[in-house]
Amino acid sequence: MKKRMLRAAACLSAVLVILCSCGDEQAREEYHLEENNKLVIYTSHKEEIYGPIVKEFEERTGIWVEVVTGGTNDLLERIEEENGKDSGDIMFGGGVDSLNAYQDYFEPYICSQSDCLDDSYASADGVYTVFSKLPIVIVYNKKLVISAGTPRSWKDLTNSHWKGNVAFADPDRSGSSYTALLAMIQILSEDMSKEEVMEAFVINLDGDILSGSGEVLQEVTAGKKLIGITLEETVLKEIDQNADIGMIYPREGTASVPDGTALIKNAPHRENAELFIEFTVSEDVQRLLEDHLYRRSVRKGAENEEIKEMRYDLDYSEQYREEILTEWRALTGQ
Amino acid sequence: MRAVIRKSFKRELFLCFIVVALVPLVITGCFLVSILKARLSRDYEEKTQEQMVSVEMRMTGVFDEMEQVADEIMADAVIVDGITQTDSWLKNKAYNKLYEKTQDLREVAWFHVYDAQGRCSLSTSPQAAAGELPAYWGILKVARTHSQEMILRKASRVRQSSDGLCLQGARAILDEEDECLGFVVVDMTETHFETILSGAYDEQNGIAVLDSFWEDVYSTKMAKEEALAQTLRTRRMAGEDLRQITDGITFFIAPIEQTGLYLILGKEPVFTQDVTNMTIGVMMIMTVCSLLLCIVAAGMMSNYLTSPVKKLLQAMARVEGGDLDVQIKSSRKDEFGQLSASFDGMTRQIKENLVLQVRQQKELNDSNIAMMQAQLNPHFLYNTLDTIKWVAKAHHVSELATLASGLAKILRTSISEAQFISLSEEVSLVCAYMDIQKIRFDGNFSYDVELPLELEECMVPKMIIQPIVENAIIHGLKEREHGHIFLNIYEEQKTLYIEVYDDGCGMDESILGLLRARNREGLKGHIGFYNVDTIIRLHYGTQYGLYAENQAQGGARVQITLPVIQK
Repeated sequence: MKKRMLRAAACLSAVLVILCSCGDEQAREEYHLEENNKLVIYTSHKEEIYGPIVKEFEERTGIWVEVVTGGTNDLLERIEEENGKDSGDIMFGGGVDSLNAYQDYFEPYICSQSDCLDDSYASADGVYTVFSKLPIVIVYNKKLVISAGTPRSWKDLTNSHWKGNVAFADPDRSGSSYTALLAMIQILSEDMSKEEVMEAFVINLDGDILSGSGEVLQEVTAGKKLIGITLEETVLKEIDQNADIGMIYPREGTASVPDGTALIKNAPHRENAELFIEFTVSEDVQRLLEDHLYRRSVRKGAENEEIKEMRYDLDYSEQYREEILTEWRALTGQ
Repeated sequence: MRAVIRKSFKRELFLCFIVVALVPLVITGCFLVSILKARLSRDYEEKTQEQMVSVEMRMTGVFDEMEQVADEIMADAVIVDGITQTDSWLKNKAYNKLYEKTQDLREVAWFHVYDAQGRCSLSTSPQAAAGELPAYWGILKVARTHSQEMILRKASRVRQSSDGLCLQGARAILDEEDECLGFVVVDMTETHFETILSGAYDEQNGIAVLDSFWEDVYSTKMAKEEALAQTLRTRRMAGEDLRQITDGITFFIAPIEQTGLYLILGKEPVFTQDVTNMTIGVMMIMTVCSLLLCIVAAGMMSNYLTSPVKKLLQAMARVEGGDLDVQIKSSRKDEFGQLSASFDGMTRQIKENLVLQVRQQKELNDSNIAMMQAQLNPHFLYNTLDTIKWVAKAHHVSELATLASGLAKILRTSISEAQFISLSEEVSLVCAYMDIQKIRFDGNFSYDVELPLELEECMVPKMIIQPIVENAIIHGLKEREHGHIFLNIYEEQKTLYIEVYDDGCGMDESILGLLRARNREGLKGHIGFYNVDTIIRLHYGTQYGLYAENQAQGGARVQITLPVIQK
């Protein structure tokens, strides 16, 4: 009796299951992507930079690119954490000093076009491949400062004439600010010690330090500060939007530390990643950087106007990083 | 549970009815829902496919026209000349030509003519300058290398914001020496797409156009909200299933021919959670309703079927207890009715048989007595007793005379043919009996008789009081110095009451119980009571009979009830 009932119940439920399942037909997987047709890029660039380049790369190679965006330090920490497991293929963006600091997590790759590239900041081991140059400039409000009265050099920035009128982001938070501070220290190192430079500069800032590099231009265009220290790229972009500001390359030369691209260790799509690195330094991309993206090409013989570049010591900046930032915090009372 | 159900026919029936009513309902319900679901989904899919085809037709139609217009522009010397023209009059002529050529399509696209370096020279865009496109980059580069066809790309304009710009088409203008003279560029904005697609699809659906890398070219509001394009691209990149169960919408994908573009249509699923819940809800309510109905109907039905069985069972129990007057008298015409009728017939038959048997027994008894009477002539006995009486009188032995005349009286009555005698005769018989016993027991007891005159001629079965009195003398007054017996006869409401009181030791409770239960076997030694009771019942029916009890002040009271029957 019990057995018969069980059997009946089983038959009934089988019928029900068949009835219910006939409606659900899973979509066929006809849009399958081959693994060797993919590339995962970690980038700290803004969308306006990576967008056209990634798109063009896709169109030219047929490789599908997944873009993971984030701040330079966040992405580098992520790479460190992933340590070659389930990681991306490439780190696109970030100053070469930062990339160098994480060299353990990158696969050396010597770009085939390295002969055509500016080698002043090239990595000897091929940890990274330079992408674009980002000179640091002094920006000033054209309405408030006549061009004859603008600061001309790093030295001028320590002049008490500009006290309380300099827009400068916290080097603790902004990579470009740290580069600017180190450039100043290195340039002025003949006459002054690094402590003296920092002290004089901090006095000129008059206790008003901006929290991010984006604020520098806002402060200057709004006229809250007369001059500011920031990247050439942002100033050019702002000038193109018809902002009434001017730009000065310091007479002693300026730091033009490039950003770069690095191959992540154990990259799952290594061949595609190499293709991408080659593409980033290709003539077309570098030309686009200069023509449309306000950046300087890293290719030799590029068309942009020459500026005087200082010899920025990457090792020095890395070596004294903690010391300088501690001193900075002490001086600014943070 | 099962044991409880199996114990009752009614419960078994009840369960059976419920199962029979509910199981088909649930199965049909499931059937219906899944058929409905499958059917709806198919219709829905077909409808969607139609919409997709209509959207695709619109777009490919526009693309074809665009290509034609681009061909015409390229072939027009005035426009091509106008690219490098600085003379405003000639430029104006070129513009006129361009507007003339593009008049049919200006609603759905902007046409530009770029020079070989990628600078915009002529444009139908209402905005001022269309700016420049790098000739070494993107769409212009591809157009230059594939000069035979129109290249379609997701629009991108470096440097300027490309607000609202969706799709860009380009075609290189070449001279005879294959030198590039410039480009015809077509821009399509969101507004243009809306114009093209308006009415081609259901507004509730989301439409998205993706490029060959599944990046969003154009999305309607709904598609944007659902992030259709991004979701699909992420899934395709991750190698996941494109359609996932958790999706709030279903979508359909189809490539648009010869463009490298894909058309996506996103739709609220036909069976949303709401609809499914509602269907299940309706089914539940229906099930509950039918369950209630079923319980009521099954209850009534099983009652209807089991009540005659129950009645029959009760009647059977009464018959077992000896009550043969039981009749079911069912008014039903079905098998249960027939069964009841046969039962009634059966009890009737049994009763008749019983009466017949009793009568036969009685006849047998009568013949036995007659036989005994034949063996010894009672008249001889009677005459002898009479002689003894007279001899005793002659010798002045009065007690012997009394004994002889009493015994003669008793003998005469008991051997007479008559079954019924008058009450006065019965009483005098009892008195004679008591006189004899008085002499026998040496005058240890006395007696009184109360017989109203009008009852003297009442007819009663003979010898019904004597066994009671005998019992009172032998058992009740046993070992008493002085006892008293009181015989009281009276009539009340056509019923004759004959009561025998004694002041003896009373009757055992166990005997009284046996009497009430009419247990013949247990009444040994008091069989007289049982016989009296049986005789009365047989003659007059069960409402008459014998009743005995102990009096509160001591002694027993035995009451006989009879109908009053005058001679």
